[in-house]
This record gives sequence, C-alpha cells and structure tokens, in this order.
Amino acid sequence: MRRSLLAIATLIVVLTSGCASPLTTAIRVSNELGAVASTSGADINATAARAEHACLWRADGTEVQTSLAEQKSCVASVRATYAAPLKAYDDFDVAWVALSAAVHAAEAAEVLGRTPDLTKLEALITAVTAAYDAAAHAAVEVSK
Amino acid sequence: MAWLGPLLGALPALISGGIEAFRVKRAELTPIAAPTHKQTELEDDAELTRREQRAKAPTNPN
Repeated sequence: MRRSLLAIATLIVVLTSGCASPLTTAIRVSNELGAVASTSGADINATAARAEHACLWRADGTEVQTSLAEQKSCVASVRATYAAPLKAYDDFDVAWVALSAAVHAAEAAEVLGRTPDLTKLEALITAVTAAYDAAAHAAVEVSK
Repeated sequence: MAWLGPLLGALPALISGGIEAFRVKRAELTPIAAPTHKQTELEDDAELTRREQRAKAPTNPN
C-alpha cells in the first residue's frame, strides 16, 4: 500500500514538474530574456544618448564651442558606433512583442477551451532567443 | 489486493487532481522597457537644425 502511494506521488510530481507546457515556457523565456535585454538595452540607449549629447553640450549645460560641421560629424560618428547594438535591441523588442502577443493569444485560447497554436509559440521562442543572442553580441562588440 | 481495483479506477482522477494541486500558478508576462534612442535622435537633430538656422540668420547690425 505504502509503496503504491509512493509510486503515485512520484508520478504526480514527475507529471507536474517535468512537463512544463510551451505556454509556460514561453512566458518564462519572455520574462527571463526580457528582463536582461530590457536592462542592457536601456544601458546602451543611455550610453549612446550621453555620447551624442556630449557632441552638442558641455558638462555645465552650455553649448560646445566646436563648429557646426564638427558637431554634426560627431553626432554622425556616435550614431554609426551605436547603430548595430541599438538596432539589435530594437529587433529584440519587436520579437519580444510578437511573442507576448502569441502568449496572450494562447492564454485567450485556453480560456475559450480551444487548443493554443503551440507551433507559433515555439517558433517565436526561438526568434526571441536568437534576437537576444544577437543583441548581447552587438553590445559586447560595441564595448570593445 | 481487493483495494487495488478501486485504486486503479480512481487513478486518473487522482493524477489530474494531483496535477492541479501541485501546479504552480503560471507567471504573467513582465513588460520590457521601450527603446529611447529615436527620441534622442529627434531631439538632437532638432537642436542641430536650430543651431544651423541661427548661424544662417542675418546678424543684427545694431
């Protein structure tokens, strides 16, 4: 009797912990990658903004004394430097929004008693993960 | 062994009830921060345009 109950309990634990649904996985991936990318993306955005700001303004808030041509050249140079990581984080945001929309659609399907489109969810998890890797790589490259 | 029949019969209900009992409430999506660099570029472009127009404006002889 005790052995049977133990087997049943083990089965229940395995079923509940070992089989996370694609929807649960999608939410976990969204939240974990989203939190990290959100922070590092905000850092890159702020760093680029500070560098661009320094082309136009001195630390005391007055205008820089360089020529207008030099200011434009400085701004263009900063934008070229940060273009790749900023675009990579923008791409991550787009992929993340697509995944979150699919998560909401899957949740709505569950509520309505329909089968969620898990193939789409899995494809978007892959896309978000790839976009995250690309953004992280671009951030490392620009910091060299 | 007489108890085995009823136990096996109740197994599906036990399992599904167990799953529900052990299931952790699914997390919700946490929003991410929106990028700000386009706003920065707009503001700095506007400032450069302002400086360009100021440089082109005729100087007051007085």
